[in-house]
Amino acid sequence: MSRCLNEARIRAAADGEATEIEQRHVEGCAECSARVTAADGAGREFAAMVSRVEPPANLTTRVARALAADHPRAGATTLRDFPSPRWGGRVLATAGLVAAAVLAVVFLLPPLDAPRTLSAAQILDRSLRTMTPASGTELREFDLELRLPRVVANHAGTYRIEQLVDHDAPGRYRIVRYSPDGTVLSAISEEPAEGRRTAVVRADGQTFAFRFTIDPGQPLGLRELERDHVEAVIRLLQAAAGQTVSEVDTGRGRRYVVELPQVADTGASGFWELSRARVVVDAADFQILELTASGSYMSDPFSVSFRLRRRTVRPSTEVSADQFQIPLDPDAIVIEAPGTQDVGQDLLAGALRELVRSKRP
Amino acid sequence: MTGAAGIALDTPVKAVAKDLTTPAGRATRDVRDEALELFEAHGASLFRFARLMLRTPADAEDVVQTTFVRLLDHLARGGLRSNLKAWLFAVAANLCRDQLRARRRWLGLLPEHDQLLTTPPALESRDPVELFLAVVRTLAPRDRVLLALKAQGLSYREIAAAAGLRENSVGRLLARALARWERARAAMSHT
Repeated sequence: MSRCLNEARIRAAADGEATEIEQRHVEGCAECSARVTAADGAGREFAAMVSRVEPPANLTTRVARALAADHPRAGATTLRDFPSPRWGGRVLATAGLVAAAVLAVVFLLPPLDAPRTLSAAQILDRSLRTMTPASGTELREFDLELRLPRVVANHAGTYRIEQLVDHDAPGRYRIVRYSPDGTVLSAISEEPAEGRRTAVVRADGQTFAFRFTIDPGQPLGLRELERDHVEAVIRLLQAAAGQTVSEVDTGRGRRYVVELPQVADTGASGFWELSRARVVVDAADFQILELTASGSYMSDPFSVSFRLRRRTVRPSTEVSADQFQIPLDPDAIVIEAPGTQDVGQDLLAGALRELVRSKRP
Repeated sequence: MTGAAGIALDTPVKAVAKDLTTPAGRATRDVRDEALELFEAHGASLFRFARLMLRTPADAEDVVQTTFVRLLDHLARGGLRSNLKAWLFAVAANLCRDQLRARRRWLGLLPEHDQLLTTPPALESRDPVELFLAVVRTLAPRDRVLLALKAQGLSYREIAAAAGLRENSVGRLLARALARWERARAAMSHT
Protein backbone atom coordinates (compact mmCIF):
# COMPACT_ATOMS: atom_id res chain seq x y z
CA MET A 1 0.00 0.00 0.00
CA SER A 2 1.32 3.45 -0.88
CA ARG A 3 2.20 5.99 1.78
CA CYS A 4 -0.35 8.37 3.24
CA LEU A 5 -0.61 11.76 1.56
CA ASN A 6 0.90 14.92 2.93
CA GLU A 7 -1.02 18.13 3.54
CA ALA A 8 -0.48 19.47 0.01
CA ARG A 9 -1.59 16.26 -1.68
CA ILE A 10 -4.64 15.95 0.59
CA ARG A 11 -5.58 19.42 -0.60
CA ALA A 12 -4.97 18.35 -4.19
CA ALA A 13 -7.17 15.29 -3.70
CA ALA A 14 -9.94 17.47 -2.25
CA ASP A 15 -9.62 19.77 -5.26
CA GLY A 16 -9.69 16.93 -7.77
CA GLU A 17 -6.04 17.47 -8.68
CA ALA A 18 -4.59 14.25 -7.24
CA THR A 19 -2.85 11.71 -9.44
CA GLU A 20 -4.51 8.40 -10.17
CA ILE A 21 -2.24 6.61 -7.69
CA GLU A 22 -3.02 9.14 -4.97
CA GLN A 23 -6.72 8.88 -5.67
CA ARG A 24 -6.58 5.10 -5.34
CA HIS A 25 -4.74 5.45 -2.05
CA VAL A 26 -7.38 7.79 -0.68
CA GLU A 27 -10.12 5.36 -1.63
CA GLY A 28 -8.36 2.58 0.28
CA CYS A 29 -7.16 4.56 3.31
CA ALA A 30 -9.74 5.55 5.90
CA GLU A 31 -7.47 8.16 7.47
CA CYS A 32 -6.61 9.93 4.22
CA SER A 33 -10.18 9.67 3.09
CA ALA A 34 -11.32 11.45 6.28
CA ARG A 35 -8.67 14.13 5.81
CA VAL A 36 -9.76 14.70 2.21
CA THR A 37 -13.37 15.01 3.34
CA ALA A 38 -12.38 17.58 5.97
CA ALA A 39 -10.23 19.52 3.48
CA ASP A 40 -13.03 19.43 0.95
CA GLY A 41 -15.44 20.80 3.54
CA ALA A 42 -13.23 23.82 4.28
CA GLY A 43 -12.77 24.56 0.59
CA ARG A 44 -16.47 24.27 -0.12
CA GLU A 45 -17.30 26.49 2.82
CA PHE A 46 -14.97 29.17 1.53
CA ALA A 47 -16.33 28.91 -2.02
CA ALA A 48 -19.91 29.05 -0.71
CA MET A 49 -19.18 32.30 1.10
CA VAL A 50 -17.53 33.75 -2.01
CA SER A 51 -20.57 32.88 -4.09
CA ARG A 52 -22.65 35.07 -1.78
CA VAL A 53 -20.68 38.16 -2.82
CA GLU A 54 -23.08 39.90 -5.19
CA PRO A 55 -21.80 41.87 -8.17
CA PRO A 56 -23.36 45.34 -8.30
CA ALA A 57 -26.44 45.68 -10.47
CA ASN A 58 -24.86 48.21 -12.82
CA LEU A 59 -21.70 46.24 -13.54
CA THR A 60 -23.00 44.87 -16.85
CA THR A 61 -24.02 48.30 -18.10
CA ARG A 62 -20.74 49.81 -17.03
CA VAL A 63 -18.55 47.21 -18.72
CA ALA A 64 -20.70 47.06 -21.84
CA ARG A 65 -20.48 50.84 -22.21
CA ALA A 66 -16.74 50.75 -21.68
CA LEU A 67 -16.34 48.09 -24.36
CA ALA A 68 -18.62 49.89 -26.79
CA ALA A 69 -16.95 53.26 -26.35
CA ASP A 70 -14.96 54.76 -29.20
CA HIS A 71 -11.85 54.57 -27.09
CA PRO A 72 -12.54 51.98 -24.44
CA ARG A 73 -11.72 53.29 -21.04
CA ALA A 74 -10.18 51.53 -18.15
CA GLY A 75 -11.46 51.82 -14.57
CA ALA A 76 -12.52 54.91 -12.69
CA THR A 77 -9.01 56.29 -12.67
CA THR A 78 -9.82 57.60 -16.13
CA LEU A 79 -11.83 60.80 -16.13
CA ARG A 80 -15.40 60.30 -17.21
CA ASP A 81 -16.91 62.33 -20.05
CA PHE A 82 -18.82 65.45 -19.09
CA PRO A 83 -22.25 65.85 -20.70
CA SER A 84 -22.08 68.23 -23.64
CA PRO A 85 -23.67 71.65 -23.06
CA ARG A 86 -27.04 72.38 -24.61
CA TRP A 87 -27.42 75.06 -27.29
CA GLY A 88 -29.12 77.77 -25.31
CA GLY A 89 -26.79 77.36 -22.48
CA ARG A 90 -24.26 79.94 -23.60
CA VAL A 91 -25.62 82.85 -21.64
CA LEU A 92 -26.54 80.63 -18.76
CA ALA A 93 -23.18 78.93 -19.06
CA THR A 94 -21.38 82.27 -18.84
CA ALA A 95 -23.43 83.25 -15.80
CA GLY A 96 -22.86 79.81 -14.40
CA LEU A 97 -19.14 80.11 -14.91
CA VAL A 98 -19.06 83.41 -13.02
CA ALA A 99 -21.15 81.91 -10.22
CA ALA A 100 -18.95 78.83 -10.17
CA ALA A 101 -15.83 80.96 -9.98
CA VAL A 102 -17.27 82.92 -7.05
CA LEU A 103 -18.29 79.72 -5.31
CA ALA A 104 -14.89 78.23 -5.96
CA VAL A 105 -13.15 81.25 -4.47
CA VAL A 106 -15.44 81.31 -1.44
CA PHE A 107 -15.78 77.63 -0.71
CA LEU A 108 -13.14 75.71 -2.57
CA LEU A 109 -9.94 77.69 -2.24
CA PRO A 110 -9.63 77.70 1.56
CA PRO A 111 -9.58 73.91 1.80
CA LEU A 112 -6.91 73.70 -0.89
CA ASP A 113 -4.33 73.82 1.85
CA ALA A 114 -5.71 70.60 3.18
CA PRO A 115 -4.17 67.54 1.54
CA ARG A 116 -6.47 65.35 -0.50
CA THR A 117 -4.28 62.32 -0.17
CA LEU A 118 -1.54 61.35 2.19
CA SER A 119 0.93 58.55 2.01
CA ALA A 120 2.28 56.71 5.03
CA ALA A 121 5.62 58.44 4.49
CA GLN A 122 3.93 61.85 4.38
CA ILE A 123 2.02 61.19 7.59
CA LEU A 124 5.25 60.17 9.28
CA ASP A 125 7.04 63.19 7.88
CA ARG A 126 4.41 65.51 9.29
CA SER A 127 4.63 63.72 12.60
CA LEU A 128 8.36 64.27 12.70
CA ARG A 129 7.90 67.94 11.96
CA THR A 130 5.29 68.35 14.69
CA MET A 131 7.40 66.56 17.28
CA THR A 132 8.91 69.89 18.23
CA PRO A 133 6.57 72.88 18.40
CA ALA A 134 7.88 76.16 17.02
CA SER A 135 7.17 78.09 20.20
CA GLY A 136 5.60 77.89 23.63
CA THR A 137 6.30 75.69 26.60
CA GLU A 138 5.49 72.07 26.01
CA LEU A 139 4.63 69.58 28.72
CA ARG A 140 4.67 65.93 27.73
CA GLU A 141 4.27 62.79 29.77
CA PHE A 142 4.87 59.43 28.17
CA ASP A 143 5.79 55.80 28.77
CA LEU A 144 8.94 54.54 27.17
CA GLU A 145 10.23 51.00 27.04
CA LEU A 146 13.58 50.38 25.42
CA ARG A 147 15.26 47.07 24.73
CA LEU A 148 18.41 48.20 23.06
CA PRO A 149 21.41 46.70 21.31
CA ARG A 150 24.50 46.18 23.40
CA VAL A 151 26.24 49.27 22.04
CA VAL A 152 23.67 51.61 23.59
CA ALA A 153 22.31 49.29 26.27
CA ASN A 154 22.81 51.86 29.04
CA HIS A 155 19.53 53.55 28.01
CA ALA A 156 17.49 50.35 28.14
CA GLY A 157 14.62 50.04 30.59
CA THR A 158 11.01 50.91 31.25
CA TYR A 159 10.27 54.48 32.22
CA ARG A 160 7.64 57.10 32.60
CA ILE A 161 9.04 60.42 31.54
CA GLU A 162 7.70 63.89 32.18
CA GLN A 163 9.31 66.74 30.34
CA LEU A 164 8.73 70.45 30.26
CA VAL A 165 10.52 72.31 27.48
CA ASP A 166 10.47 76.04 26.77
CA HIS A 167 10.87 76.27 22.99
CA ASP A 168 11.21 80.05 23.20
CA ALA A 169 14.29 79.90 25.45
CA PRO A 170 16.98 77.48 24.27
CA GLY A 171 18.22 75.25 27.08
CA ARG A 172 15.31 75.89 29.45
CA TYR A 173 13.75 72.58 30.39
CA ARG A 174 13.00 70.04 33.06
CA ILE A 175 13.01 66.29 32.46
CA VAL A 176 12.07 63.77 35.12
CA ARG A 177 12.42 60.04 34.61
CA TYR A 178 10.34 57.76 36.81
CA SER A 179 10.47 54.03 37.34
CA PRO A 180 7.25 52.10 36.61
CA ASP A 181 6.33 52.37 40.34
CA GLY A 182 6.56 56.18 40.25
CA THR A 183 9.94 56.60 41.97
CA VAL A 184 12.11 59.38 40.55
CA LEU A 185 15.08 57.67 38.92
CA SER A 186 16.77 60.75 37.60
CA ALA A 187 15.99 64.31 36.64
CA ILE A 188 17.66 67.26 35.06
CA SER A 189 16.59 70.85 34.73
CA GLU A 190 18.24 73.93 33.38
CA GLU A 191 17.52 77.64 33.70
CA PRO A 192 20.13 79.36 31.48
CA ALA A 193 18.95 82.86 32.38
CA GLU A 194 19.83 82.17 36.00
CA GLY A 195 22.97 80.16 35.16
CA ARG A 196 21.53 77.14 36.96
CA ARG A 197 21.42 73.46 36.18
CA THR A 198 20.16 70.78 38.53
CA ALA A 199 20.70 67.06 38.10
CA VAL A 200 19.17 64.50 40.40
CA VAL A 201 20.15 60.85 40.62
CA ARG A 202 18.98 58.17 42.99
CA ALA A 203 21.31 55.46 44.22
CA ASP A 204 20.83 52.92 47.03
CA GLY A 205 17.62 54.63 48.06
CA GLN A 206 19.34 57.99 48.50
CA THR A 207 18.62 61.06 46.39
CA PHE A 208 21.64 63.11 45.31
CA ALA A 209 21.05 66.55 43.84
CA PHE A 210 23.82 68.33 41.98
CA ARG A 211 23.44 72.08 41.60
CA PHE A 212 25.72 73.37 38.92
CA THR A 213 26.43 76.93 38.06
CA ILE A 214 26.66 77.31 34.30
CA ASP A 215 27.60 79.93 31.77
CA PRO A 216 24.26 81.48 30.72
CA GLY A 217 25.57 81.85 27.19
CA GLN A 218 26.21 78.14 26.79
CA PRO A 219 23.11 76.15 27.63
CA LEU A 220 23.33 72.38 27.40
CA GLY A 221 21.99 71.05 24.14
CA LEU A 222 18.81 69.20 24.98
CA ARG A 223 19.10 65.59 23.93
CA GLU A 224 15.78 63.89 24.32
CA LEU A 225 16.16 60.17 24.64
CA GLU A 226 12.70 59.30 23.41
CA ARG A 227 12.84 61.65 20.44
CA ASP A 228 16.12 60.16 19.32
CA HIS A 229 14.69 56.64 19.31
CA VAL A 230 11.26 57.54 17.96
CA GLU A 231 12.80 59.60 15.19
CA ALA A 232 15.22 56.80 14.29
CA VAL A 233 12.35 54.30 14.05
CA ILE A 234 10.25 56.64 11.94
CA ARG A 235 13.10 57.29 9.54
CA LEU A 236 13.51 53.54 9.15
CA LEU A 237 9.78 53.09 8.70
CA GLN A 238 9.65 55.79 6.04
CA ALA A 239 12.34 54.01 4.10
CA ALA A 240 10.79 50.55 4.51
CA ALA A 241 8.78 48.97 1.74
CA GLY A 242 5.36 47.52 2.41
CA GLN A 243 4.10 49.78 5.16
CA THR A 244 0.34 50.11 5.28
CA VAL A 245 -1.77 53.00 6.41
CA SER A 246 -5.31 52.99 7.68
CA GLU A 247 -7.61 55.46 9.33
CA VAL A 248 -9.67 54.57 12.38
CA ASP A 249 -12.13 56.38 14.56
CA THR A 250 -11.44 55.61 18.19
CA GLY A 251 -14.33 57.55 19.60
CA ARG A 252 -11.78 60.06 20.92
CA GLY A 253 -10.81 61.27 17.49
CA ARG A 254 -9.51 59.92 14.23
CA ARG A 255 -6.14 58.21 14.06
CA TYR A 256 -3.81 57.21 11.29
CA VAL A 257 -2.23 53.83 11.88
CA VAL A 258 0.96 53.21 9.94
CA GLU A 259 2.17 49.65 10.17
CA LEU A 260 4.99 47.59 8.87
CA PRO A 261 3.67 44.05 9.15
CA GLN A 262 5.90 41.42 10.66
CA VAL A 263 8.47 40.36 8.12
CA ALA A 264 10.61 37.32 8.43
CA ASP A 265 14.27 37.83 9.28
CA THR A 266 15.85 38.50 5.94
CA GLY A 267 19.31 37.76 7.17
CA ALA A 268 20.38 41.03 5.62
CA SER A 269 23.54 42.55 6.97
CA GLY A 270 22.29 46.13 7.21
CA PHE A 271 23.09 48.12 10.33
CA TRP A 272 19.48 48.83 11.22
CA GLU A 273 16.79 46.31 10.30
CA LEU A 274 13.19 47.00 11.14
CA SER A 275 11.15 43.80 11.30
CA ARG A 276 7.90 45.21 12.68
CA ALA A 277 6.53 48.63 13.49
CA ARG A 278 3.25 50.32 14.32
CA VAL A 279 2.72 54.03 14.72
CA VAL A 280 -0.55 55.65 15.77
CA VAL A 281 -0.81 59.29 14.79
CA ASP A 282 -3.49 61.78 15.81
CA ALA A 283 -5.21 62.77 12.55
CA ALA A 284 -5.97 66.23 13.94
CA ASP A 285 -2.42 67.39 14.63
CA PHE A 286 -0.16 64.53 13.50
CA GLN A 287 1.19 63.97 17.00
CA ILE A 288 2.59 60.50 17.54
CA LEU A 289 0.44 58.86 20.19
CA GLU A 290 1.89 55.38 20.16
CA LEU A 291 4.86 53.71 18.59
CA THR A 292 6.04 50.16 18.86
CA ALA A 293 8.87 48.77 16.81
CA SER A 294 11.28 45.90 16.85
CA GLY A 295 14.20 44.85 14.73
CA SER A 296 17.90 44.46 14.96
CA TYR A 297 21.00 46.59 14.99
CA MET A 298 24.02 44.76 13.61
CA SER A 299 22.17 41.48 14.31
CA ASP A 300 21.51 42.58 17.91
CA PRO A 301 17.75 42.73 18.65
CA PHE A 302 16.12 45.94 19.80
CA SER A 303 12.61 47.12 20.54
CA VAL A 304 11.10 50.51 21.31
CA SER A 305 7.70 51.16 22.77
CA PHE A 306 6.35 54.68 23.27
CA ARG A 307 2.95 55.81 24.49
CA LEU A 308 1.98 59.43 24.97
CA ARG A 309 0.00 60.00 28.16
CA ARG A 310 -0.60 63.74 27.84
CA ARG A 311 0.72 66.76 26.02
CA THR A 312 0.02 70.46 26.38
CA VAL A 313 1.61 73.53 24.83
CA ARG A 314 1.18 76.89 26.58
CA PRO A 315 2.61 80.35 25.92
CA SER A 316 5.94 80.51 27.73
CA THR A 317 4.87 83.68 29.54
CA GLU A 318 2.22 81.67 31.36
CA VAL A 319 4.74 79.18 32.79
CA SER A 320 6.47 80.32 35.98
CA ALA A 321 10.17 79.75 36.63
CA ASP A 322 9.57 77.47 39.60
CA GLN A 323 7.89 74.92 37.33
CA PHE A 324 11.30 74.29 35.81
CA GLN A 325 12.75 73.37 39.19
CA ILE A 326 12.97 69.81 40.39
CA PRO A 327 11.27 69.32 43.74
CA LEU A 328 13.68 67.61 46.17
CA ASP A 329 12.82 65.47 49.14
CA PRO A 330 14.14 66.84 52.47
CA ASP A 331 16.68 64.01 52.84
CA ALA A 332 18.35 64.70 49.52
CA ILE A 333 22.11 65.26 49.64
CA VAL A 334 22.80 68.47 47.73
CA ILE A 335 26.16 69.00 46.05
CA GLU A 336 27.13 72.38 44.61
CA ALA A 337 29.61 72.42 41.73
CA PRO A 338 30.56 74.33 38.55
CA GLY A 339 28.99 72.98 35.41
CA THR A 340 30.30 72.44 31.90
CA GLN A 341 28.87 71.03 28.68
CA ASP A 342 29.63 67.49 29.86
CA VAL A 343 27.02 66.55 32.46
CA GLY A 344 28.41 63.06 33.04
CA GLN A 345 31.87 64.45 33.75
CA ASP A 346 30.38 67.15 36.01
CA LEU A 347 28.47 64.57 38.05
CA LEU A 348 31.56 62.43 38.50
CA ALA A 349 33.79 65.39 39.34
CA GLY A 350 31.21 66.82 41.74
CA ALA A 351 30.83 63.48 43.55
CA LEU A 352 34.61 62.95 43.81
CA ARG A 353 35.14 66.48 45.04
CA GLU A 354 32.55 65.91 47.75
CA LEU A 355 34.17 62.62 48.69
CA VAL A 356 37.59 64.27 49.08
CA ARG A 357 36.06 67.05 51.14
CA SER A 358 34.41 64.55 53.48
CA LYS A 359 37.71 62.66 53.97
CA ARG A 360 39.63 65.77 54.96
CA PRO A 361 39.74 66.56 58.69
CA MET B 1 -30.68 37.88 -16.77
CA THR B 2 -28.69 35.31 -14.96
CA GLY B 3 -24.94 35.21 -15.37
CA ALA B 4 -23.09 32.01 -16.02
CA ALA B 5 -22.26 31.65 -12.35
CA GLY B 6 -25.89 32.03 -11.33
CA ILE B 7 -25.75 35.65 -10.23
CA ALA B 8 -28.48 37.95 -11.40
CA LEU B 9 -27.16 40.81 -13.45
CA ASP B 10 -29.28 43.77 -14.33
CA THR B 11 -29.42 43.91 -18.09
CA PRO B 12 -28.49 41.56 -20.92
CA VAL B 13 -25.03 42.57 -22.02
CA LYS B 14 -25.72 42.55 -25.74
CA ALA B 15 -28.90 44.58 -25.25
CA VAL B 16 -26.85 47.33 -23.63
CA ALA B 17 -24.23 47.12 -26.35
CA LYS B 18 -26.80 47.41 -29.14
CA ASP B 19 -28.29 50.52 -27.57
CA LEU B 20 -25.00 52.29 -27.89
CA THR B 21 -23.73 54.03 -30.97
CA THR B 22 -21.58 51.79 -33.10
CA PRO B 23 -18.09 52.97 -32.41
CA ALA B 24 -15.52 53.78 -34.99
CA GLY B 25 -12.78 52.29 -32.84
CA ARG B 26 -10.36 49.65 -33.96
CA ALA B 27 -12.23 46.73 -32.40
CA THR B 28 -14.72 45.14 -34.76
CA ARG B 29 -18.22 44.25 -33.70
CA ASP B 30 -17.26 40.54 -33.68
CA VAL B 31 -14.46 41.19 -31.27
CA ARG B 32 -16.72 43.25 -29.03
CA ASP B 33 -19.34 40.52 -29.08
CA GLU B 34 -16.68 38.01 -28.15
CA ALA B 35 -15.56 40.20 -25.24
CA LEU B 36 -19.16 40.65 -24.09
CA GLU B 37 -19.75 36.91 -24.20
CA LEU B 38 -16.69 36.40 -22.05
CA PHE B 39 -18.01 39.03 -19.66
CA GLU B 40 -21.31 37.16 -19.45
CA ALA B 41 -19.43 33.96 -18.68
CA HIS B 42 -16.81 35.29 -16.27
CA GLY B 43 -17.74 38.85 -15.25
CA ALA B 44 -19.41 37.86 -11.97
CA SER B 45 -16.56 35.51 -11.05
CA LEU B 46 -13.99 38.18 -11.80
CA PHE B 47 -15.88 40.68 -9.67
CA ARG B 48 -15.96 38.24 -6.75
CA PHE B 49 -12.28 37.55 -7.18
CA ALA B 50 -11.45 41.27 -7.18
CA ARG B 51 -13.82 41.90 -4.28
CA LEU B 52 -11.88 39.43 -2.15
CA MET B 53 -8.64 41.15 -3.06
CA LEU B 54 -9.65 44.79 -2.63
CA ARG B 55 -11.20 46.91 0.06
CA THR B 56 -14.19 48.41 -1.71
CA PRO B 57 -16.72 47.22 -4.31
CA ALA B 58 -15.85 50.28 -6.42
CA ASP B 59 -12.21 49.16 -6.65
CA ALA B 60 -13.36 45.69 -7.69
CA GLU B 61 -15.62 47.18 -10.38
CA ASP B 62 -12.69 49.20 -11.71
CA VAL B 63 -10.61 46.06 -11.96
CA VAL B 64 -13.34 44.18 -13.83
CA GLN B 65 -13.85 47.04 -16.27
CA THR B 66 -10.14 47.46 -16.91
CA THR B 67 -9.70 43.71 -17.35
CA PHE B 68 -12.32 43.59 -20.09
CA VAL B 69 -10.98 46.71 -21.79
CA ARG B 70 -7.62 44.95 -21.92
CA LEU B 71 -9.31 41.81 -23.21
CA LEU B 72 -10.85 43.80 -26.02
CA ASP B 73 -7.44 45.13 -26.94
CA HIS B 74 -5.96 41.64 -26.71
CA LEU B 75 -8.63 40.20 -29.01
CA ALA B 76 -8.41 43.12 -31.44
CA ARG B 77 -4.68 42.56 -31.78
CA GLY B 78 -5.28 38.91 -32.59
CA GLY B 79 -3.94 37.66 -29.27
CA LEU B 80 -4.08 34.00 -28.31
CA ARG B 81 -7.56 32.71 -27.57
CA SER B 82 -6.59 29.56 -25.73
CA ASN B 83 -7.79 29.56 -22.12
CA LEU B 84 -9.02 33.13 -22.01
CA LYS B 85 -10.52 32.45 -18.60
CA ALA B 86 -7.03 32.01 -17.12
CA TRP B 87 -5.87 35.06 -19.08
CA LEU B 88 -8.67 37.17 -17.59
CA PHE B 89 -7.89 36.11 -14.04
CA ALA B 90 -4.17 36.70 -14.57
CA VAL B 91 -4.84 40.25 -15.77
CA ALA B 92 -7.29 40.87 -12.92
CA ALA B 93 -4.78 39.52 -10.38
CA ASN B 94 -2.12 41.90 -11.69
CA LEU B 95 -4.51 44.83 -11.57
CA CYS B 96 -5.46 43.96 -7.99
CA ARG B 97 -1.80 43.78 -7.10
CA ASP B 98 -1.27 47.25 -8.60
CA GLN B 99 -4.25 48.58 -6.68
CA LEU B 100 -2.96 47.14 -3.43
CA ARG B 101 0.43 48.72 -3.99
CA ALA B 102 -1.19 52.07 -4.74
CA ARG B 103 -3.40 51.79 -1.65
CA ARG B 104 -0.34 51.26 0.47
CA ARG B 105 1.24 54.40 -0.87
CA TRP B 106 -1.78 56.64 -0.86
CA LEU B 107 -4.63 57.11 1.48
CA GLY B 108 -7.37 59.31 0.10
CA LEU B 109 -8.61 61.84 2.62
CA LEU B 110 -12.19 61.88 1.47
CA PRO B 111 -15.30 62.77 3.44
CA GLU B 112 -16.73 59.27 3.07
CA HIS B 113 -13.81 57.85 5.03
CA ASP B 114 -15.40 59.21 8.15
CA GLN B 115 -18.32 56.92 7.53
CA LEU B 116 -16.34 53.98 6.26
CA LEU B 117 -13.92 53.95 9.13
CA THR B 118 -16.14 54.41 12.12
CA THR B 119 -15.93 51.76 14.78
CA PRO B 120 -17.32 48.53 13.33
CA PRO B 121 -20.60 47.34 14.80
CA ALA B 122 -20.71 44.22 16.92
CA LEU B 123 -19.84 41.13 14.93
CA GLU B 124 -23.15 39.40 15.44
CA SER B 125 -24.98 42.38 13.92
CA ARG B 126 -22.86 42.42 10.79
CA ASP B 127 -23.74 41.00 7.43
CA PRO B 128 -22.14 37.52 7.17
CA VAL B 129 -20.69 38.37 3.76
CA GLU B 130 -19.12 41.57 5.11
CA LEU B 131 -17.79 39.60 8.05
CA PHE B 132 -16.37 37.00 5.68
CA LEU B 133 -14.70 39.71 3.61
CA ALA B 134 -13.30 41.31 6.76
CA VAL B 135 -11.71 38.00 7.74
CA VAL B 136 -10.33 37.46 4.24
CA ARG B 137 -8.78 40.94 4.31
CA THR B 138 -6.68 39.95 7.30
CA LEU B 139 -4.90 37.37 5.13
CA ALA B 140 -1.75 38.06 3.16
CA PRO B 141 -2.37 39.07 -0.48
CA ARG B 142 -0.93 35.81 -1.79
CA ASP B 143 -3.29 33.75 0.37
CA ARG B 144 -6.18 35.85 -0.85
CA VAL B 145 -5.19 35.41 -4.50
CA LEU B 146 -4.95 31.65 -4.16
CA LEU B 147 -8.20 31.22 -2.25
CA ALA B 148 -10.11 33.62 -4.47
CA LEU B 149 -8.90 31.94 -7.66
CA LYS B 150 -9.71 28.47 -6.33
CA ALA B 151 -13.14 29.60 -5.23
CA GLN B 152 -13.80 30.67 -8.83
CA GLY B 153 -13.13 27.14 -10.01
CA LEU B 154 -9.71 27.60 -11.57
CA SER B 155 -7.50 24.54 -11.89
CA TYR B 156 -4.10 24.39 -10.24
CA ARG B 157 -2.49 25.07 -13.61
CA GLU B 158 -4.65 28.14 -14.14
CA ILE B 159 -4.03 29.33 -10.60
CA ALA B 160 -0.29 28.91 -11.07
CA ALA B 161 -0.42 30.94 -14.28
CA ALA B 162 -2.54 33.72 -12.79
CA ALA B 163 -0.66 33.96 -9.50
CA GLY B 164 2.82 33.51 -10.95
CA LEU B 165 3.56 30.32 -9.01
CA ARG B 166 4.82 26.85 -9.84
CA GLU B 167 1.96 24.45 -10.34
CA ASN B 168 3.56 21.99 -7.92
CA SER B 169 3.38 24.57 -5.12
CA VAL B 170 -0.28 25.42 -5.49
CA GLY B 171 -1.69 22.56 -3.36
CA ARG B 172 0.68 23.23 -0.46
CA LEU B 173 0.12 26.98 -0.52
CA LEU B 174 -3.64 26.58 -0.85
CA ALA B 175 -3.76 24.19 2.11
CA ARG B 176 -1.87 26.68 4.24
CA ALA B 177 -3.97 29.60 3.04
CA LEU B 178 -7.17 27.76 3.93
CA ALA B 179 -5.78 26.87 7.35
CA ARG B 180 -4.88 30.52 7.95
CA TRP B 181 -8.36 31.59 6.86
CA GLU B 182 -9.93 29.13 9.32
CA ARG B 183 -7.68 30.41 12.11
CA ALA B 184 -8.45 34.05 11.27
CA ARG B 185 -12.16 33.28 11.22
CA ALA B 186 -11.95 31.55 14.58
CA ALA B 187 -9.91 34.43 16.02
CA MET B 188 -12.40 37.02 14.78
CA SER B 189 -15.36 35.10 16.13
CA HIS B 190 -13.70 35.22 19.56
CA THR B 191 -13.08 38.98 19.34
